[in-house]
This record gives sequence, C-alpha cells and structure tokens, in this order.
Amino acid sequence: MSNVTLGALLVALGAAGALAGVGVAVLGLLGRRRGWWRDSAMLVGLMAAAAGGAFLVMERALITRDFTVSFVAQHGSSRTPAVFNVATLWSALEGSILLWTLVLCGYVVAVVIKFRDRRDDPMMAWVMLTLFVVCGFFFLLMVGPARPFTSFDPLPFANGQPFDGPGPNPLLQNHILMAFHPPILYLGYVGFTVPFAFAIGALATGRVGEGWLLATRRWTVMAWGLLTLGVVLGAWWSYETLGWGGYWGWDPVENVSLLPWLTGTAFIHSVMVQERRGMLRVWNLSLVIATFALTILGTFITRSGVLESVHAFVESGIGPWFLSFFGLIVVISLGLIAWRGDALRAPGRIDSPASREGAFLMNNVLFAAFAFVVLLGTIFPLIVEAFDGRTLTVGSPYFERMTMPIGFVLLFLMAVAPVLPWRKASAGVLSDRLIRPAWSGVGAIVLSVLAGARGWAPLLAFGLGGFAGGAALRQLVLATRRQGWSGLTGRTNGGMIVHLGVVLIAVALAASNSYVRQETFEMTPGATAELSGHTFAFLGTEVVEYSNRVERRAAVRIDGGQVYEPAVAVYGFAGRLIGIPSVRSTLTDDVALSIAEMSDDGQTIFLRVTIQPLIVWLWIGGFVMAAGTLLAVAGGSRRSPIAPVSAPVSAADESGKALAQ
Amino acid sequence: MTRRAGPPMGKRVTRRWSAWLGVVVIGGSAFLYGAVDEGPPRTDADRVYSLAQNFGCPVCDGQSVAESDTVVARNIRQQIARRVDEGRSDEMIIAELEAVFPGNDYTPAASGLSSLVWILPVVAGAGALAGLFVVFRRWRQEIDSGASPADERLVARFLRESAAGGEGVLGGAVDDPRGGVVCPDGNAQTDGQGDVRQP
Repeated sequence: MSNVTLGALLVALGAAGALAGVGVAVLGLLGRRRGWWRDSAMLVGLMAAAAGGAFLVMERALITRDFTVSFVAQHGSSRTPAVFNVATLWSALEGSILLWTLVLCGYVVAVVIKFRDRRDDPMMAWVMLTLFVVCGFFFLLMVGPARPFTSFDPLPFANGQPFDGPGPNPLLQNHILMAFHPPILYLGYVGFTVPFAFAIGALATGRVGEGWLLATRRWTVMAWGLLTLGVVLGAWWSYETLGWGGYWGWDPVENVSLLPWLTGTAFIHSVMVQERRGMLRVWNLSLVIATFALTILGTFITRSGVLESVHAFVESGIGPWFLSFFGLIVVISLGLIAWRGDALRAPGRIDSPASREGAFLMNNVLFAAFAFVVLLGTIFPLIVEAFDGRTLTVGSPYFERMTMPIGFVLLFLMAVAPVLPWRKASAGVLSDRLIRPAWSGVGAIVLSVLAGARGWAPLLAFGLGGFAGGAALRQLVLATRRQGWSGLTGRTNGGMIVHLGVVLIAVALAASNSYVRQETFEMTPGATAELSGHTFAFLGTEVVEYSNRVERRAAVRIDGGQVYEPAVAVYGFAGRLIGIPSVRSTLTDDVALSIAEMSDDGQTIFLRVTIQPLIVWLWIGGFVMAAGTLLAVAGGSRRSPIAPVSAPVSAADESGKALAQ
Repeated sequence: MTRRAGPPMGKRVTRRWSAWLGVVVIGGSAFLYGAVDEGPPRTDADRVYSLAQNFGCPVCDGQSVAESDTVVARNIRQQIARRVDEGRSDEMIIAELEAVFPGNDYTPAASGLSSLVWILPVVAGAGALAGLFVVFRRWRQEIDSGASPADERLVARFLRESAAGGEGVLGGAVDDPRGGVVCPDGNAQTDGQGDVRQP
C-alpha cells in the first residue's frame, strides 16, 4: 500500500474514532451506555494509533524521499540532511497539524490512564466529550483543508534529472534547535487542552469548586513549563539563525506564542487563591479558557496569512476553520460561565491587599494587562486596515514602552509576594522578611554601577532583579533548613526556582537590550576592526559544499584568539541566499558575527558585529525555569483530589444527568 | 525547648529602621549616580542601529530594516547612515522614510485612530486598578473581626510575650514553607492561611 493511501486511511480512521468518541461520550452522559468509559478508552487508543501511524508514514515518506506524496514533493528533498529531514514534517502547515494531533492524542491517552478510577464520574464524561471534540476538529482539518496525504506525480525535470523537491525553508534547516523547538512548543500549547477540558467539565456539572483545579494542577504546570521552554528555545533559534543579533522581535507569530504563556502564568498563580480561599472561581475558569482559546487564535494567525511574519506558514484555507473553532470555544465557554453564575460566586473575601492572595490578584491584573497590550498591538494593524484602509505596523518601540512598566511592577511583586502571609501582613513582619532581599537588591545596583552600568531602566531592572532573587533565595534557604534537599521540591519551592530563572532572564533582557552595540565593517583579508574593546581580524574566505547548500565562509579571528566563521549559503535549486551567523558566547557577553554582504570574489566582506552583554543568561534562565517546573511537580504534599468545596460525586451525578436531560 | 532572649523591643525597632534607612540611602545614591550619569555618548553606529530597528523592511515578512538582509533593507540602512552623517535628527530621518515607505514606522502615531493603541491599555489598566480599589474597599467594610474569645486570648498572649522581650510579634516565629509561621515554643502555629491553631 502506498504511503498516500495508508496515511489517508489512518487519518480517516482517526477522524472516525474522534467522531464516534463524541457519540459515545454523549450516550454516556445521557446514561444510555453503561460501558461508555471502556468504549471511550478504546476509541482513544484507536485515535492515538491512527495519529501515531500517520506520523510514522509521513516520516517514512520523508526519509525515503517518496515524492508521490505531495507534502514530500513540496517540502522534502534528497539533499536535506537526515536530522532536518525528520524535522521537515513540522516545517510546513499540513505536517505541523499532524504533529499537533499526535501530541493531542498522546495527552488524551494520558488522561484516560490517569483518571481510569473516575469512570463513573459524570465530570469525566464531559472531559472526554470536550477532548473528543478537539481531537475531531484536528482530524477533520487533516481530512479537509490541511490534508497531509495527497498524491503527486513526480515527473523527471526537463533536463532528464529525476524529480527532487526544494526541501524545507533554508532557515529551518541550518540549526539543530529546529528539531526540538516546535515539538516542545506544541507539547506546551496542546497541554492546555487538558485543564480546558476539565474547566468545561466543571462548568457543565456545576462542580466549580477546587476539584478540577487539584486534578489538573500538575498537567497545567507541566504544560506551562513546556511552553516556557519552547518559547525560550524559539528565541535562541532566532538569535543563532537570523543573524541580526536579536532574539525577540515582537513579530506577530512570536507575540501569539507569548499570549497563552501570559494567561497561563496568571492562571498557575491564581489557582492557589482558589485552592486556599475558594475565591476567584470565574477568573480561574476564564483564564484557563482564555489560554486554550489563545492557542487556537495563535494557530489561526500563524497559519491563515492574515498577518505578515517571518515565522508564518504559507497562506492557506485553514483560517476560517480555526476562526470558527475559536468562536465556538468562546461562545460555549461564556455561555456556560453565564449559566453557572450563581454557583461561581466566591464564598470568601480578600482581607487585605497586603496579603499573599492580594499579591496574586495584583499579579493577575498585571499579566492580564500585559496580555491585553500584546494582543492589541498584534491585531491593531488589522483593526486600522478594516476601519480606514491604511496599512500600519506596530513594532518593538510600542511593545517595549508599554510592557516595560508592567515588567518592573511584576519584578517588584516577585520580591514581595513570596514573603507575604495569607490573609494579612503586619508592617513588622514585612519589614523583617524583606530586609535581606532589599539588601540583595541594593547589592545588585551597587555592583552594576561599579561595573559601569548606566541608565535608569537597566539599573532599576538589576535592582528589582536582586530584590526578587533575594526573596526567592530566602524562601529556598528556609525550606532547605527545615526539610533538607526535599525543600527544593513542591509547588512553592519549585516556584521559587522558577522565579530565579525569571530574574536571570529579566537581568539578561535589560543588559542585552540596553547595552547592545552593533556596527558593520567593510573588510578585505588582513584588515582589522574594533568594537567595544573587542578586535576582529578578517583572515579570508573559503567555499564549502554540503549536500543541501554551498557555503562561502569568512574566517574572522576574535581578540587574537579563536577563529569564527560566519557564512552566506545558497540552498538547493531554490537558490535562496541565507546568512549563517557565528556566535562567540561567554558568561559576560556574546559577540555575534554575520555577513551582511560579500563580493563575488570573496575578497571584500561587510561584517556585521553585534555585541550584547549577559545574553547567555537568557538561555540559562530558561533552563532554570524548566528545572524549577520539574521540581514543582516532582514532590511536595498533595491535597486530596476530592475537593472540599466541590459537590460530592453523587450530587454532581444528579446535576450531570439533569444537564444531559 | 528554651527560648533565646532577643534584644529589647525599642532596640529592635531602631535596628529595623536603621537597616531600611541604609537600603534607601545606599541603594538610592547608587541608583541616582548610575541613572544621572549617561555614560559614553551614543555613536553614529548606535543611532543607525536603533533607527533601523524601529523601521519595518517594506518588502519583508515582519522583519525590521535592522534584521533583514534584503537589498531594499540594506539600501535603507545606508540611507539612514547618510542622514545620520548629515546631522539630521532621529525624528526627521524616520519621517523621511515613512514618506517614502508609508506604514512601516514601528511606532504608531499618537493621533487619530492610531492613538487608540496607546490609549486603550492605559484606560483599561486604570479601570482595573480602580475596580480593585472599589472591591477591596467593599470587602473591608463587609469584614468583621469574627475572632473567637479563645483566638483573642491567644493573640493577647503573643503580644504580651513579645513586649516582654520576645523576638517579635510571634516571638521568634519562623516561616512555614506553606506561607504561614511556626512558633518556637511549639504551642501554636499559623496554618498558612493566617488561622492560628493549637497543635
């Protein structure tokens, strides 16, 4: 059987499984099918097998260069190196949807295994119904507008050469991070489907207490951690690949990956208020629904071609499908929240703004404001074009000016919130607990000034970073004194390690943005140049041929030491010219070299040199955040998933049946 | 378990105030010194880079002139460098580029329809803060003490102990990793939600 036929059959099988799953879950809710859970589990297995099988078939087609598969003919090539051949699957629209579906099915399998003991719980029927609907949507995309398996007739070229594809976009096949960044990002994005499904289940059954939060706590934190890692790896890929010395350009596609991260971050903080005090129910439901909806909106923006981006996929007919699905999610979710209005009323009050819950509330307002600024700036060009037909670009000056004050206040809250007790804090307690972190902030400012740092914004960032870092370390020291090494695990202490990662990133962002130096030098062999105390000697050029590209490399010695080789490369028969930067990273600064222009004989180059301090700490901070996330879910005491505020299963069973009738 | 006697209350307050005064004086002085001193002046290359970062490449997908290596972007960078050499201001250079390549200035205008992108977040933020203020005020009015006589006796005992030379309001209490505090004599602890309970 050909790859096209087998792949198309597997996709159709998965779609049928998802649609059957919707039917089984509905029958289970109506009480007409007692074995609905067993049937659902089988259908989930079928979907996962179909998605996994389709994924493997596509990989086989890519690896064996089966150009009878249209996707392989358009995006594969016999010249692409093996590792990028595998990664070609997620370099284009149809393959990326296939990967998304596979990850989603993996999560659904995990849900079925994890919650197998709650098969009689009507909330699980709603959860499974929601998951089947989302799976069905993605399978139907692959049956309809984003078909990965269509036939192609690979006729030989006019010169008699056998057919060969162009390969993936050159930018996607010149750095190893491309093999990791998209799958990890998808694991984060798609992971939020699980808490979303439980939120819908909670609303539908009326069990809107803490039960669904406790059940999905680790799922949410893991999804958030993976999304964090995915975003950081994406920034690293941009920095290493695009050659302009930057890592975040406030591009629409970058922005839409940040939006669910922002609402997800707000959510993982505000759930603690509901768990402790039973408050912020509507807010938490709204945040988790918004996080999932924003992943769908982001997918629409990335894949519909409505906004221009260097990261966007080619324009396709998939846009209306995603927009309709986004609308459906918003309408159903808002309808359910309105329907459960009375049950969502919070039983508690926040006694004082100077309390842990008061700080979480403020944190949520700030993250919501951050998300609003990013969303507005991203879609504002569309709004202006719709109203007066003018084209407009909203770029980094706007986003930096609007988000910087929010970032400063968030850093301040990161310092103060961990030392605040629940309910209320006295001035004396705050003073005693904050004095050491405050000295840590003072130390950071003094050291920065002594090291030559100038300017109010970076100094404020360093000072607040020191303050927040001191508060996180204080908490960790107290916890490890009492509990030994296990004091590093659990949500609170793992969270403090995440805070340390955020501080590293904030300091690196402030330093690299404030003290960046860039200059372009015209050089011939033997010429030297100098920038920010570094010297650069151009030694000459050489041509190196690879299977997928021809590189013209320039050898540049930095500071009389190691030689670095930025290059320009021509990829495949597309003939696209791509710059390949070369970066020297140290703990204090990065020197990024790229070729802005090279003469035909290779004797003259325009060498672009970008020097940024502390940039490596961005990536270290990202990994510290990921490690903190793992520690947060790895240990610590867990509450019983039988929620103290949620209705017992028997009572909820009645509400579930009532709803179904 | 014996309790370590702390310094008298007055001395503790003085020490606390001195520590915070040190934070304000040393931290504030260092900050002011670093913030006022502008450091080395910006070079022409710095200005060219900054301007190129703030203007979109007209033929690229979402890249700035600084990021793109297309011929158009390279030409615009050279034009920016020439204008900087001629001594023109940043505003003049951006205005000239915007006249030739409309819709590529990354900074939206603060007038007309574009101004909404600046105004809306400020209005929304102010509204959210005002809403929080109103809600907290209402909650404060709704809350009564609700403390039982036993709770009040417990609090009074702590206050007496701290006045008699303890180590603070909770007499040397240490942080509970869950967010509450544990007293050193083991007689009482808060449970992380602020509720005092007997062991």
